Amino acid sequence: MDDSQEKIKKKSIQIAEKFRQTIRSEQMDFWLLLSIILLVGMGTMMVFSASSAAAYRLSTSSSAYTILTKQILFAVGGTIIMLIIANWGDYKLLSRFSIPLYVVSIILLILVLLIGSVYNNAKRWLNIGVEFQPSEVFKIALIFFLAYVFSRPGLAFKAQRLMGLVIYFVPAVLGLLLIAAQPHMSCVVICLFVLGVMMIMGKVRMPTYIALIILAGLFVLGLILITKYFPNVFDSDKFSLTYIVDRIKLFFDKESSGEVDNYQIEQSLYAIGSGGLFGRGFGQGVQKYMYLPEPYNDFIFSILAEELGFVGVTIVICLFALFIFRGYKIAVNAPDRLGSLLATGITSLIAIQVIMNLAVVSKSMPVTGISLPLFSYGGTSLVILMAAMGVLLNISKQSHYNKF
Amino acid sequence: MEKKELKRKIKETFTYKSEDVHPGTRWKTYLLCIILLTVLCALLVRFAYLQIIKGEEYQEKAYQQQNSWRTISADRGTITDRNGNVLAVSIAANIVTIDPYVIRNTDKNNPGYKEKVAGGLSSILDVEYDEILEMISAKKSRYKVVAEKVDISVGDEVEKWIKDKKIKGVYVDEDSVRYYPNGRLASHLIGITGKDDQGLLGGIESTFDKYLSGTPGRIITAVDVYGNELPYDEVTRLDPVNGYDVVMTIDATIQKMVEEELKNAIDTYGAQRGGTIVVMKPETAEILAMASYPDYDLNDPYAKPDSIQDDNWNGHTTQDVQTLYATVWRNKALVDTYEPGSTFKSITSAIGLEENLITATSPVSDAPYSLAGWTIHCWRKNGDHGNETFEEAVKNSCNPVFSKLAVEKIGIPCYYRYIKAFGFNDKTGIELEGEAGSIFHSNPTDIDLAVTAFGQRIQITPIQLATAYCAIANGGYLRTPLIVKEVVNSDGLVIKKYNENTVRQVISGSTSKTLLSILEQVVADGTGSNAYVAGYRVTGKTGTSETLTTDTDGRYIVSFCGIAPADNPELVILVVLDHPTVGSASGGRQAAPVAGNLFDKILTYMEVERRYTDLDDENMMVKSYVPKIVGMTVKDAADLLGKKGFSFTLADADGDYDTTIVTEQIPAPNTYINSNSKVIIYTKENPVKFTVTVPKLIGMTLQEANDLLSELGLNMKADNIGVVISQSIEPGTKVEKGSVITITLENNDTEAFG
Repeated sequence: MDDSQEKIKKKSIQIAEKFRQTIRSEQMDFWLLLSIILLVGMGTMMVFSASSAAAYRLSTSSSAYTILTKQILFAVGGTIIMLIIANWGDYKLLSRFSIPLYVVSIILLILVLLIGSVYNNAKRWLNIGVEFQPSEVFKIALIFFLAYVFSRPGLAFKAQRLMGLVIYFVPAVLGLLLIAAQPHMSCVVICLFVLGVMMIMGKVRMPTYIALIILAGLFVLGLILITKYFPNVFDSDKFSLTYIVDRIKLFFDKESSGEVDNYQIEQSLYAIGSGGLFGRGFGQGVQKYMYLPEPYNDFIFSILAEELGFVGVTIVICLFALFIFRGYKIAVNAPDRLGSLLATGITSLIAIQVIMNLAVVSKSMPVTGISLPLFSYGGTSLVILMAAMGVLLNISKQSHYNKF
Repeated sequence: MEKKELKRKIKETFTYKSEDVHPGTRWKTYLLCIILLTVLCALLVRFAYLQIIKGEEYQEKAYQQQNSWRTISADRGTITDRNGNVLAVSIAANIVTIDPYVIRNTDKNNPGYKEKVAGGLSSILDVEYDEILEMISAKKSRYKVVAEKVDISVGDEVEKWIKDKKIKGVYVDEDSVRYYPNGRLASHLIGITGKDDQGLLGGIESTFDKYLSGTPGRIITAVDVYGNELPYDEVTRLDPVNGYDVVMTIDATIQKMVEEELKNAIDTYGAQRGGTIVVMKPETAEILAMASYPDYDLNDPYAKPDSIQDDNWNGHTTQDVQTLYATVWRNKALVDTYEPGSTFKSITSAIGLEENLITATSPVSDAPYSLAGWTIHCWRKNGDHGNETFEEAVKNSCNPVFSKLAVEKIGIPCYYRYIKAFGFNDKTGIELEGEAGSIFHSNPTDIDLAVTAFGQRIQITPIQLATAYCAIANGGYLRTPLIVKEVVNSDGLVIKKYNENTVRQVISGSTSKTLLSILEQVVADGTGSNAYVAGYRVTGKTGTSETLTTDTDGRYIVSFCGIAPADNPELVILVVLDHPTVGSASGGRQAAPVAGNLFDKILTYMEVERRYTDLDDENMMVKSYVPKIVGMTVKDAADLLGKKGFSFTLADADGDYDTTIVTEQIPAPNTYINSNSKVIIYTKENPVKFTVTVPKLIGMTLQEANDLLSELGLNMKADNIGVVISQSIEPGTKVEKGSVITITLENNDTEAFG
């Protein structure tokens, strides 16, 4: 009797120990990984559906599968890179390259202004062997840079005080100005959000904020004065301020629904609305036939809403919610400040982009070109994002918490 | 011990927290997470709103955008008269539409395309270049009509241009144009089609639009933004359903006679405000003709009316359209009210007879009738008609008799009950829009009744009076006037039939008969004698009423409303002339002859057998001496002959009546012959005379002989009625046209003239 009881006890202890080891073990966050894979998978599927319409339009390009093939290639490549970084990489090691990475990204931003190719009145793309948007690199570089600054002992102490304005704020603003010059205002907004979040999580002290408010006040005052005395300065339609004002005006201008930009958003609403509860069925969307600009990119979610209905919308939004929750969970459970800041930055970056994209396509905010992260078609940007996901997973792997 | 260890370990496992290496940021991070998730949740709600609540609306909009259509207009139904003569018909045409999106998008890749399309279209169609450019830049609509109702040949030209130049975004589809083969004929009854005038003009085109218009078809294509058809959708063509045909009750031939007669009368009597004629079939209350003047050309409805002086006439301005409504577009028979005057005495008589308050032979007095400080006199200035029978009072149109009858015998309640029964308080219900209502005293007093009794100080529409006369004619049944016989589809199947609709019986059949015989006297030997037609027992009543206008001359409305033949009424004709200025205004002198001519022509056309009466024969016995007209101009000769009751034929006419001199006449001057004879006039020196062979007349009646001889161009002299027993010139003899043949008759069979 005693023997058998003893055996059971021992066995129980063994099981508990194993379980404990499992959950504390060096594994990646299960839910995060799951949401990433599902999102990329669904994204690729939708890209296929949307691109079939585009292929139909571009009768010159070979087949409907061109875009799909590319997307699958980048999705698989990105996943491999993500898993490599997650398993065998070390974010602490990577963060040592934060400053060089940031410098490189600034150089790329300068390069794009010099030799970038122009699409839709904006210079965003750089072709150096591979074609990519340096602003995508910059976003990640900014997160690494800020995480480094706010986690490195000594440096963080200075950064948290007024000195920080010189240490990180000026370099950050430099990058933002370069992006604004493209112009790529949505990216500026995203970077500002990430910057703000990182500053708060980096425990920046009050004087910095006060100083920033004063600086912002002066800046606005300056703008007003310049506009008043040199009214011609902002006439160039490339200048970002008028560009933003126009966008906002357009958003509130309900009458001009025939105008180009409101036309886009109206088309997006047609797509979303006609999806109904269950959608037209995968591949059965009509709005992707050139009614929607870039159906596989910025407006891919509209296509999803049209084809998979509110059910599909709910699933994808839940997946993103899961991602965001797990991302911040990683941040709070990170083994050190660096990991925490990196996780916060990367999660916030994804979150703000998702929110902005969904808000744009559902006409909840002014139109701005912004893709749905992990979901939209995108070659290099997807790879860059997946690398960031690798970092996030790597952080989770190095921390001890319940990964299920 | 081990138990405790185990418990601790398990507890530690599930409540494990890593060492807090981030003091102060943990809650901030969770707060951020909650904020972001809340926003995400709000977006989910936004999607729920868009997809579930607004879903259908957007679906509809998307459908409209994706499935663009161009309409193919349906062929509008044909309008015919009762015999199938076409009055309005649709002719195939083309409509040219453009798709601004397609053109704009093509223009993006191919600059100058917009201008090319606009240039090409404006050179073929009658549309301005700038106007087309403007249509191309229209943002809100998928299709813009560039030109509709274009000729097929023009449409073909556009199609050829599209093919040759490989034009995208321009389409040529079927359309139709309305054409009225008879121009002005029945213009007020048919009316015109058109968006702005729908329902206002009140013709068949608008009243029966729901039957005529049909359902337009559509060409539906699912298209992308460039107008390219989508891969999985086929072009759907929904064929138009053509409109139904409307068969009217009017007879185009009668309508034509009526319109000509009306125009003649208006010219002859200088009727400044035109006039109207209504011709109805009393048995069914079908309208055989309804004319109103001035009229307009259905194929050019916006043309400037002749009476209007306006150099800036455009026809489509608000003011011009108002003018058109007030003048040529106005169907006076329906839309205008007038004071019926003495024609209304028939109604008063009908009430008196029906209520057994009076008979044809009742003795009445035409003495002035005083009432409430007013005195009603007879129209005759030099003394009234004194004591007479009621029949004579109708014949002489004595106002006091009717006032007295109405006030003293009928009384207000009874009189107005009949007014209502005759339908004067209601619209007749004719299937034409725009019918006006009547005006009667709302709280009538005796004096109101006294003047109403002879048709003054009341306003009714011509159609109301004609309808009431139909009731008098058909044995007392008030029926809704019919303008449409039936609506048929293109296969000839009757969709809707308009049968006679009896509203009520107003008077009895015997009253109807009595009244007709009284009214016959009006025409035979009374104020309406100018409406007399030999062989057709015309009955009726004249009317002359003052209008409230202050025109110094022609402030009268003269009218005649007649029924014929009295023994079996086939027609009711109402003639109303507004503001006659030539001659003194008189229904008897001005309106009655018009009605007489129309009864003669229409009843002949309808092949109603003439049945001559003693009166007809007696009229034929009237003889005169043929005047000497040789040496006169033709015009003077015609006037002189006309005065004597003769008619004439110009045998070798050419040249002007004013200058041509009569060289010879047959019969010779001073021949004493029947005054309805026809004198043959020659105007050439030593003319070649026309000869005819004398027929055998023995055994014929006077009328038969008369008809036969006048057909041959011969004249007749007879002193008796009855059957021909001898003739002055033997049958088979060749005589000159116009020669007189004396016949002897024996009146041995009086029944023959019943």
